Amino acid sequence: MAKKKAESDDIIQPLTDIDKVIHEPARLMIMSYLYVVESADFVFLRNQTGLTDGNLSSHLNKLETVGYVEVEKKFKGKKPQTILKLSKQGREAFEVYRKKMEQVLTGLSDK
Amino acid sequence: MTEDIDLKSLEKKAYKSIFDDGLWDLFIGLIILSIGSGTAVGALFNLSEVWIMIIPALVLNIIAFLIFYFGKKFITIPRIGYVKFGPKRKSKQLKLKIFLSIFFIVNLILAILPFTSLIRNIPLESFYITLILGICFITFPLCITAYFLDFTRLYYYAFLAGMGLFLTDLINPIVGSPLDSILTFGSIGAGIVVIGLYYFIWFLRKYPISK
Repeated sequence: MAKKKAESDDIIQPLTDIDKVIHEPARLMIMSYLYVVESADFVFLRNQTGLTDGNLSSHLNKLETVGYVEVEKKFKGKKPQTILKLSKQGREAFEVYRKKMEQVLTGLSDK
Repeated sequence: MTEDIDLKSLEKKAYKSIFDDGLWDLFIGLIILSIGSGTAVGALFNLSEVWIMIIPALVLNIIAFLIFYFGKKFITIPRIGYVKFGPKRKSKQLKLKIFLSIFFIVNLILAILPFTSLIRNIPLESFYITLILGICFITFPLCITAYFLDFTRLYYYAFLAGMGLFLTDLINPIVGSPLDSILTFGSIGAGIVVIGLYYFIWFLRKYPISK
């Protein structure tokens, strides 16, 4: 009985360790896009993710607060431009998240 | 592994969006069109023999470049946004630049060939020569460019443009010059321009300017 519980704990444990900041679907989408490019501006990310300005802005705030995204605000001519890129910490967190999710999904398979 | 594939397709989707505006199609279409219409404009204004092709073609090439450059700067980027891709894309772009530089030098060397007796002494029908020239100097470099740019439509354009010289030579006995190159390069270029315009209009509708 105790052995069975320990086994199920082994499977469930990685689930509790999942990074909840990244796990939210919109933030996962943002992180994925920023992971595959070097940097992008707000407009590009909004078009690719299909999120609204407000939604994208609030998720980026959260990701910036935890240190996963670096935000650089500058002017291109007279227009403001917000350049976004994953920080080193963000890139590592995303890789850890992917590995953990892979582990969890393998553990949950019905083989 | 699945994640790897999904991230790759995500990157590809983001990258391919830079071709959504149709400006590459317009640029290539206008360059090809310049070969055909260059002859027509030259004949229309009675330009002297030497400049009959060069001046109008050069003007159209400059127009094509300006449309591409200012279109990207003032129409595309404000609409789809700015993005910098990763090291793999950068390395591909660098390889393309190296290839095009080498190709340009090779072309310069080969431009001297008509002044020698080498080409005149090739024991081939002119049909075959135009076919080989089209494949070597138009289709091949455009296909390499398409590969490094990851721009699928360019493969079709490469094939069509490569056939231009051969088709011009083929219909020359029927329609004569300059109508032969107007009909071949002109219609191929115009077709590509129409495709570019279609993508461009679709792009303007899909990506309205952000306030």
